[in-house]
Amino acid sequence: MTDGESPEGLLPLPSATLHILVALAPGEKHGYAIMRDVEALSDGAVRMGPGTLYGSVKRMLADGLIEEAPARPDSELDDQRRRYYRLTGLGERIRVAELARLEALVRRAGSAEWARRRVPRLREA
Amino acid sequence: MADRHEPVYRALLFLYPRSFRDDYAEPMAQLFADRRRDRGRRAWLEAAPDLLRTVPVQRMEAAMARLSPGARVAALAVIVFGAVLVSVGFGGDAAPLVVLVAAVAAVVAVVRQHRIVTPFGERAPLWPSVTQAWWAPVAALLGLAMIVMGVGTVFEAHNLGGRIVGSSFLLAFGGMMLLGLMRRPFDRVTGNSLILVATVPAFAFFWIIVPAVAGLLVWVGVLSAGFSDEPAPATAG
Repeated sequence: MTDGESPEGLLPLPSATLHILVALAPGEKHGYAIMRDVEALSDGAVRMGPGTLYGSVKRMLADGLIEEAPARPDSELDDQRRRYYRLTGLGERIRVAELARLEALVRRAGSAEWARRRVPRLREA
Repeated sequence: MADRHEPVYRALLFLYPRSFRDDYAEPMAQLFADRRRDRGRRAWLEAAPDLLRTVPVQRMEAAMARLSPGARVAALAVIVFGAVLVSVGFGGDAAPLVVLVAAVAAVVAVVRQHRIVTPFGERAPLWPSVTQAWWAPVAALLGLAMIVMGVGTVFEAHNLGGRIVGSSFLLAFGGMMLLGLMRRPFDRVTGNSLILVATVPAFAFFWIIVPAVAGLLVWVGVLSAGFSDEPAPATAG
């Protein structure tokens, strides 16, 4: 998938993908920073192990949602094994679209109109 | 002091396929080391289940990526067939349902991700397919009956193994009939071949007259309309 394509085809996103996109929204991060931010974002409800995180990263790279960032901090300040990732244009559009979808869902689910809806009773034969 | 846990974790990373390991073993080991530093031995409480969950997924993805589209379909079929055999071996009333759900889920998942290309080419919608000729509704009913019987008999408790094999054949032939009808408008020879082969079960139980007659009608219809698009050779007159 390229940046020019519509994000709708990829929605709704798997939970891990959405959390990673949100964690990367402020800027590029390495794997452990993503892991910690996902925990913080979800109040500890979502915890990713290394396999889950990098399995998602692999798919997101293939889908063009994120890319590896070439610039690294000073090697004395950081381990060279770390890889930094950042959102692509498509990844950013998909993050926004998915959050808008979830916001609309929450709004509808909490509305008085939805609460008044009743499941129609089946007529007895 | 060097952490003794990281080499253990690094050794466990060999469970992942080589392609995944080559790309991510180093950052994963680094991530585990970071986690160990922050959480101590509790890091294993996350890493162990994570390994159990993700190694089979990556193994499966790597195996599928190595196969051609046709081979992926064949591999899926072998997996489903293997699951059927295992379920027959272990018995149990829920086994056929589990296998059916697993097979449907696998096909849906793969097709949704466009990981395979169906080898059958372009197909017509269902309604034009079943009304394309006078005999087509008969063929469609025959195919549908085989699918219904295939689904129905799979849940019968007696002689589970035989039922599952019989049901699989009925489902396969019923599906082949409908696929043939859908394929025929685009590729007459392939469509007709699938349709005619799919009538075989109707003749296998020749003492039940209705399916055999229906099968015969389909043969008459297909052959009278011309098996292929090519014009018949001119006869000397």
